[in-house]
Amino acid sequence: MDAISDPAFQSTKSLKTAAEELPSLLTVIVDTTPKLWAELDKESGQNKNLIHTLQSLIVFLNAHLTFNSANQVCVIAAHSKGIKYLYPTTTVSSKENGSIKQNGDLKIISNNMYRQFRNVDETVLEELYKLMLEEKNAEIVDRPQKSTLSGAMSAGFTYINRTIKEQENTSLKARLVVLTCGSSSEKDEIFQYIPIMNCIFTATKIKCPIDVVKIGGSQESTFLQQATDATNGVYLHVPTTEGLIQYLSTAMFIDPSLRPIIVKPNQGSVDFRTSCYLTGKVVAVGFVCSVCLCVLSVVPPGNKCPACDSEFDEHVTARLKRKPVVPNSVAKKKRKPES
Amino acid sequence: MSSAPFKATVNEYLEDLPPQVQSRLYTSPATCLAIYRLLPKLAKFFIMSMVFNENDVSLRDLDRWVQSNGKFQLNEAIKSMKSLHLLIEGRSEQPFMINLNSIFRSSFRNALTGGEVNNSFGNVVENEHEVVLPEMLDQYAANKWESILHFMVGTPLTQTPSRNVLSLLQHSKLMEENNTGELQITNEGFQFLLQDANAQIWTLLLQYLRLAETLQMDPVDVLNFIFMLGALELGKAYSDSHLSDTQKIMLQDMRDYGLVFQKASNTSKFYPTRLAAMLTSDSMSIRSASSAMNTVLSQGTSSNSKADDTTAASDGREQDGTQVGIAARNIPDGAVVLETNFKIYSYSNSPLQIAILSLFVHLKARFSNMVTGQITRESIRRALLNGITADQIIAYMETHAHPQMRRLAEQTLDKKLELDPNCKEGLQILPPTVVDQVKLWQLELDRIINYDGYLFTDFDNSQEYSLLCDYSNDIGVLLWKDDKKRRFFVSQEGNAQVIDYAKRKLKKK
Repeated sequence: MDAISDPAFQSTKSLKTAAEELPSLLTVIVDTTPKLWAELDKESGQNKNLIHTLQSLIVFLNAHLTFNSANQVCVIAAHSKGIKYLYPTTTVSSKENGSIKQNGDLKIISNNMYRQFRNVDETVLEELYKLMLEEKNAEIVDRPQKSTLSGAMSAGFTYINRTIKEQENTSLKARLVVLTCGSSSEKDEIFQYIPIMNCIFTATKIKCPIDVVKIGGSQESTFLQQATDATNGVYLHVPTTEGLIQYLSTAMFIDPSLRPIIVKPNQGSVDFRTSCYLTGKVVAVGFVCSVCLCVLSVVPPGNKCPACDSEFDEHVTARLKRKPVVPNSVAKKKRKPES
Repeated sequence: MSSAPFKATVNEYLEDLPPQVQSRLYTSPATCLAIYRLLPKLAKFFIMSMVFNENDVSLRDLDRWVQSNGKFQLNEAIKSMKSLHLLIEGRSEQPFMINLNSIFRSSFRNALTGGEVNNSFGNVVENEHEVVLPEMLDQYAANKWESILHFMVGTPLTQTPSRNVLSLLQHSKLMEENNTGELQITNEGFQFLLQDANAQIWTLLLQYLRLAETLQMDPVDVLNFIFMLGALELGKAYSDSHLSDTQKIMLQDMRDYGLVFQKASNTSKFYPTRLAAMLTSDSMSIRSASSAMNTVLSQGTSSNSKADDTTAASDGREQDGTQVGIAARNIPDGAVVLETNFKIYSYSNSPLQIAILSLFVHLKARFSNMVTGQITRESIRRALLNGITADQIIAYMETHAHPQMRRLAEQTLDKKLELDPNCKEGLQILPPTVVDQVKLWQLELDRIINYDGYLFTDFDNSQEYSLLCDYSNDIGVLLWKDDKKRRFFVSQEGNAQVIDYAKRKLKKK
């Protein structure tokens, strides 16, 4: 039936309409936890890694705004004590705090810059400055800090969803870039598994690719790598912050409209294994909680799922704990040559 | 899409400039930014990857970036970059090694990082007392621009635009004097009306550029000024102290087109309007000048400029609750719904929109917020005879399609792609039946196509005939043949090749 309504004219123009320019929204999640960056500084023997990264980030934002005049950006910081929108700001009174503007910290932004860039860059820097001031004044708490990266990603997706809904007329496309730094401890990442997985599902639902840049650190970030793989994104592991802008302006600059025709710069294989919730070991075969699907390498003590607290049936766990009964090995060996 | 032919002419104009003029253009960061935005998106990607890379890049590497189904775009991108002399031979002078034009690279880098931009993005005058509201600017621009369009359509009781505008309209052959000395719209004028606002402004500005050349104005100055206008921020006052004399003269002309606003009391300052901002933005963000401005006027808020302005963004946050409500109702003025039974509904009240629609639609009834009409063979033929092409009509209806139609088309396409991922179809916003029929009506008009070429007759035997006939068919120059009478016709370009072949083959015998 559909064949009747198909167009009779196969226009050669279809190639051109495919090249139609659509505006896109870039959401950047940047991990600004000072502790992590300090560790990275120590490891690499290089100072000011965070500053370098932020400088590159600002130029990257400008580059995105250049790509199409209707392009939009959103920057979210995943900080030690929660997340913060760096742009667009949630604080209404950005004008009142003029004192910071004259503080000299914003001098790196030239007055004559393209206004569109300047507005974004100034706000981002101003908010970052405030964030760092707060950090400086805050009391030092000893308890281990949890990474807020997954929370920031969720916030990013909510923002993307809202913006797309609000601007249906322009058929906006969106993508999410995560800028994180290497030396996050393995243990920390484990507790992010479920939230990151949720983010992945959201991303596939709204067809938004996740790109990840990981700076420094020796290990690949397994879950973020899986996130990029599932959403058709790009995963890059960058050894140092030197030349970061080149990575950003090349591998991270693939606009959603260009994705179908560009070969993605992905490195070989993706580690699809998940890690044990308790021990943090990466497991190939393990136990799975039937309620929350949390993966464990050992049967948990206390017969309770450590993630969702649901209790397991004792009989079942007992059966799982049972060692396989090995029949007399001598008898086996005897039988084999016969057959 | 509809802007494609006209936008292309901006690029063509730039490509036609001699390399020396191009290099002078590239010294201005604002111009580099604007030119960058005019490029195909794959070219944008390549340039961005080369801006911070001083080393030569191999063409083969660029090729490797692109998947096999994107070769068309790759060639297009490389061609456009080469013709603008943005891609030059690498320093190592090895074959297939390329590099970015160094002048362009440094200016573009400056634009991105906010290095030395030398006032190319304008000089803001901060003055709290003389604030001009964006709404006022919109109204001003809409008045100026629509009065030009209304004048072209011939709406009665419209004020006549200034002499400058009239001479430009005449010069660009959009209007011409008829026997009685009155200005009358031409075929090009009709086509012009169907373009979106962005393309319309560019058409006029290109004509202005051609006119400027005859007046001995420096094209670099003129272009720099035009591109600068596109990069200015709405609602800010700019001083003209850094403009060259040529540019000061231009300022007066731009005022007539509604691109800038000047207060009568103080001519040393100027305010760019939304029309100017539209110069470097694409058609998708603002579908039509009048519609975009009408929406703004009716809303009375500056929520549209949210992306441009941080203060507006923070205002926007405050009114979040109301804003979502507005967004739902935010249907562009002149949104067109087209049904498969050729009925057309346009949600518009503006006489201009209605006048444009009536160029190719048989309008039936007018209601308080919409007009209805029917596309008929007669109405389309009338438009075609006026010199409007079927593609232009279709493009117009596509760009003005109601958001709901667009969404429906996107959903159908998604479904099709789910069923068959290799489906090559594009988005069909309009009902295919109507699109096909409009095209068929155009084909009705040109039943005769003429080709220049040569007729081959009087062959001695059928073997000789078939030898040459097959050859010309193989090289694709055969236009017509008659086996019985042993005659065939080849195109002009192919003739020499066929004769060469005939000499080679037939001499041997």
